[in-house]
Amino acid sequence: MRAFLARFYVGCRAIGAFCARSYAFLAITAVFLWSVVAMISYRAKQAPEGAIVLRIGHWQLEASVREALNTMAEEYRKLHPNVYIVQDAVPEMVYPQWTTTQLMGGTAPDILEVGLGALPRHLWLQYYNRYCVAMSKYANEPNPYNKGTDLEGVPLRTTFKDGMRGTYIEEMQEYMAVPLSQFGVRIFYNKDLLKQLTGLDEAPGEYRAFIRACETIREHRDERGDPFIAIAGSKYHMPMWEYHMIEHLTYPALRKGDFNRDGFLGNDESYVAVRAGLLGFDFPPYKARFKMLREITTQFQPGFTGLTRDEAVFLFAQQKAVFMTTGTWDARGLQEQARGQFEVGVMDFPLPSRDDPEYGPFIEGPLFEQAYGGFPFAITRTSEHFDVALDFLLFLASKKQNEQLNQIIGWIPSVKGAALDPLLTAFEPHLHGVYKAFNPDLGGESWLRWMQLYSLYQVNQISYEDLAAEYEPFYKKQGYKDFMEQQRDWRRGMHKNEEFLAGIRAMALLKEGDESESYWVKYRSQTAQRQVTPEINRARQMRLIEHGPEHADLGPYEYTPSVRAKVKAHLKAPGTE
Amino acid sequence: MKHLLYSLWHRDFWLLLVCLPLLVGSGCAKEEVLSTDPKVLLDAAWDDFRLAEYDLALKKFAACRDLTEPATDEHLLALYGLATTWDLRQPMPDQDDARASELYEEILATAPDHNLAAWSQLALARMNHLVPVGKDPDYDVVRKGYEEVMAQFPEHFAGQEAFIYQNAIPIMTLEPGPTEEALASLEQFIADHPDSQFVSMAYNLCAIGYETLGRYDDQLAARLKELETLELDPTSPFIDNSWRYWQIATTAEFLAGNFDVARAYYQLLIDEYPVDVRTYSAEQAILRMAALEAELQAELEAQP
Repeated sequence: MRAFLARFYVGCRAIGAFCARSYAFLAITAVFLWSVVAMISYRAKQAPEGAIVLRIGHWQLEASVREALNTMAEEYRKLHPNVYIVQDAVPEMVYPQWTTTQLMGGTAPDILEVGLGALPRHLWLQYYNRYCVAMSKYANEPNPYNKGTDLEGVPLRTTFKDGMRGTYIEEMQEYMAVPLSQFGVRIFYNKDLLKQLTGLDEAPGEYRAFIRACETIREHRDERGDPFIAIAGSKYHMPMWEYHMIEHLTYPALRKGDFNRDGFLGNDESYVAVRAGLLGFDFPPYKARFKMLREITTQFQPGFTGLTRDEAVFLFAQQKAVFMTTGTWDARGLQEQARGQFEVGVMDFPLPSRDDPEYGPFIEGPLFEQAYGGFPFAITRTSEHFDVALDFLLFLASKKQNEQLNQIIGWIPSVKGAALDPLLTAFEPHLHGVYKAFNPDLGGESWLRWMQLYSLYQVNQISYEDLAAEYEPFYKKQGYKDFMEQQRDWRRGMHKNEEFLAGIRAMALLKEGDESESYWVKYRSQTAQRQVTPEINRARQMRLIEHGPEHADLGPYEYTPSVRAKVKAHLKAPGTE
Repeated sequence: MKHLLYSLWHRDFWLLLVCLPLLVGSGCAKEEVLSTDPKVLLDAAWDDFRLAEYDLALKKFAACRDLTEPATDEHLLALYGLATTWDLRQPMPDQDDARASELYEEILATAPDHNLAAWSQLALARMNHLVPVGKDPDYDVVRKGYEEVMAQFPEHFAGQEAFIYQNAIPIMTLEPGPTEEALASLEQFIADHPDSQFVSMAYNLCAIGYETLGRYDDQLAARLKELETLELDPTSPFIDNSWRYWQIATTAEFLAGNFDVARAYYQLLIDEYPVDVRTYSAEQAILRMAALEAELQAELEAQP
């Protein structure tokens, strides 16, 4: 017994000595083991043993998104009792790093939200290519969950308002994700404060009346003597005002520079038009654009260009500002913040009337807003339950369930015919109208110079005349170098295109029957679009820069004397001209 | 921290020694065992090529080449894959044109009548056309290369693609002389190959050429034929006719002065693509033409 106790004592001392000597190592091991146990027990709580667990990764930390996905998961489980959906909701700030490590490590969720702007597009392209399953096959098949609705039997892609255009990856010629929501941008306003300061029950929809209301607001002071702010602005909000209220004034420039007749004014075409003397900063619609910008930014709080989104939201929520622009993604949150404090109104961007003396001549129509789907999800190649993941996505993308999902979140459904929350009707995109035709930089140094001068203009440190006088000569001269760099980039792109086409050609050679034919059609159409026509368009642009247009002062969408004569002849004697 | 490191490094060295092989082992990638089925190897190699895993693609193409008998389809496909990878791998400094040419030539020598011989001949011609950025192609050499493909494989896709590339060169000059020559050649091709899959591309080049020569009615006619003969990929939402309708309508309105055609194609755009970005502009264009016609009609009526 004594001997045993002695050995026990010695043993305990040895263990004690080992612990004392290796406490750091033991501490790390203990923490590691604890984390393993915690993770296993946490996972075990999420789903019973033997269940199919689908992980869905996204960056939407809004409570309503998580609640909506949980509700839809429960609905789905009613149909498929063995399937459990687990969310990996990751903050937007670290989502790129998280996605990258998960994909590369082979531990990515089965379903992954894709396309976050913080990750460059070329990286997303790589990730789609390597780690996600192409959805084209399924995009062309009906969604079984639409059975019994007017979308029964309709190919999945045509059940979406945007035809799944937003998730079609041109470079890969494949659909890579399914969009579950749609977004829109409008002006939010504090109805109570507007009434208190201006006496108006509703915000004015006409531009001049809106500016007058803003000026009235700025004349008032709060209880601390600080002036009220008409519009809460920031560098985050500025592009929204530009796109939705100001840019479409420039649409008439399309007539002067759309040389390739595709209906858009590219930055290369814009440069060519300026060099050819067809466009310039003295173009009246451009002048009007900058004048309106000045009038709008005057209504912002001072120093708005240095402020972030949150700072502007803060001013609005604290009732220091009456108006603020933002998107559907903020609608529910702003309503929550205002609850019990003030009533939130939503209005469209005010437009000048056609008889407005300054802007009327350039208002050729309402603003066109592209209806692109958002909240897009792809299925990863490492998913062990691809069929189930696809089925769950189809469930979320069906008319009824998409309506329910978005109803809970407070967003616009992406599926045709799905009803939306009454608050969001104001966010429905305008699918009829005109659009931007202003592209003043070509990247490189011209972009830098433009940003410097434009920032000064935004904060009223230089006039439009000074901006034009400083930038236009620089653009014409330095822009040529940037334009030529674009040409070189495009030529580099031709090598990449050739590699891309070789990949499609190989698929056409290896496959048989209709599949092979489909690849050949792709191959030929992409050959024409990427390798044949663009080279000629570039040559035409260079010619315009060097020699100017055939008819001086006439853009591609303006009548030449010969066309007028021809039309006149036709009117005089139809068929004889 | 210092103490922790000291403890781990000196006193528990033996523990680290035990863990090290495990750590190293877990970091090592498992050697991929290549299939012995040539078809599986080829599919996997092209997948690697498209995923820009060029070294893996080369390894699989080479394994397929070594597995197969010379002059068999799989052997030639493996050679073609190797050649394409050396020819087009990115970034460009990693390309090996000499090795690629050698492999393309091997295909041509081994099976001169094979489908892949035509594509190899075209690839050789394209190597001369796609020169590094900053250099200009030697167009005489490029033209000669395309002519060889056309001469050897006149009815093959590769031969007809070479024809399109070859004629795009004079059209691109935007000069009347070369343009007229190219137009004659393109018109002949269209007459000889009315059912070719490349006929739409030929009409496209014709339209550009006619514009250079100021033959706007012919340009409009070529654009209409281009559309009529166009192959559409039903799986892509972007290759639709909306911009083509816009292109035809604006060509008719502003170059050919043919308002009937312009109206018809603006209307097609409105009817078939009601939510297209250009639809509103098409509606405005119809009103604009009507206004111009009314103005000109008034002028005519005012004339004695």
